[in-house]
Amino acid sequence: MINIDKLNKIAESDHTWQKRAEKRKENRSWQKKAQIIAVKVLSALKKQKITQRQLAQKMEISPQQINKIVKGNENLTLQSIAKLEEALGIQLISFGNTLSDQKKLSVIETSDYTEMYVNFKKAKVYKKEGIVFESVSFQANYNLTNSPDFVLKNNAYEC
Amino acid sequence: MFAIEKIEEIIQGKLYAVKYSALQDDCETEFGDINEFGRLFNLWQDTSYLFCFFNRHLEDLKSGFFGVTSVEEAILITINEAYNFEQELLSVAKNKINTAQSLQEIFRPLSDSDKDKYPIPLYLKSKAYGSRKSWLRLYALRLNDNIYIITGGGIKLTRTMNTRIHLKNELKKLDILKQFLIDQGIVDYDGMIDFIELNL
Repeated sequence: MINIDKLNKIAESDHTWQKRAEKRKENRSWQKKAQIIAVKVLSALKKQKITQRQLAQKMEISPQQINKIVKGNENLTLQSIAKLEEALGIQLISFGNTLSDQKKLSVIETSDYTEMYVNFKKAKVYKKEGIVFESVSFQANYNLTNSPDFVLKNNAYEC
Repeated sequence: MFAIEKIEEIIQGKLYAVKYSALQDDCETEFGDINEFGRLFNLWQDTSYLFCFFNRHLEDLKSGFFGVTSVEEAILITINEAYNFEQELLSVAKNKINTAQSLQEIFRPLSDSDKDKYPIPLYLKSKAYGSRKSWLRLYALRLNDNIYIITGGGIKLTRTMNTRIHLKNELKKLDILKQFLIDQGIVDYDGMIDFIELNL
């Protein structure tokens, strides 16, 4: 026997979770980035054996503010990020996806083809088509907004 | 250890959650007036809590059961899964048509041996998966008419529940709720005939 009326009589209604879920949806785009920064800060604190309180002192901000940052709940300004980077001696954000940046490619070479990866983008070049790589590690210019196709240019492979 | 303070209704007439009167987890730093459902979704999207949790269970994480070995990766996976799971439940809550059917699709029986039973027997201990192969779990008792009462949840990094204290506690919470429902006259002992024991 089940008495649902009794259950409903003792149960209080709490739909506040829906508001929290909606807020998380609304904040999703910046919060994802704040959470990545939080993880980097927590890892650095552990590695450097620094407490959150010590970091707060170093940055001259309140421990509550640090707590908010490490929980991934703080919509950080560039100034705050720069302050955190300086205090921890680490890089938290990068503007690396530009043409001027040099990134290492990872290369898988078989007898038939060579596969190259840049930030998970793949290019496969078949040797029977006449292109043979001699080196398994080299540099290439890349731009994530460009096509991932590799082109041969001045003896370097660009994508 | 787990004193039930009250039961709160999460989705009208269908989903309820228990609120306990004590802190549940060593990694928790705050204790608000919040039921298990709200508490877990807050924790699962809290980088500081997750950093503590995965460092405490580093061995389990690195055991390779899920193929994730870094704490950083585990945190971001958890947040993403929790977010998607919560949004899925939010859409169930807002789309009031087929709520019962949707919840039955989300909640699955706890014991592997009960997975083929449909509809799920009364009082069956159930768990909801965040997503396929997710390590997030919500635990609930299912009453009839597709009514679920969430007792707790956890991040399950091991194959079975009875090997880790934090998951063993979740099993205790299921039994505590069962007794609470009997004490309150919501279910009777006869009704417990259909109670399915765990097969771990």
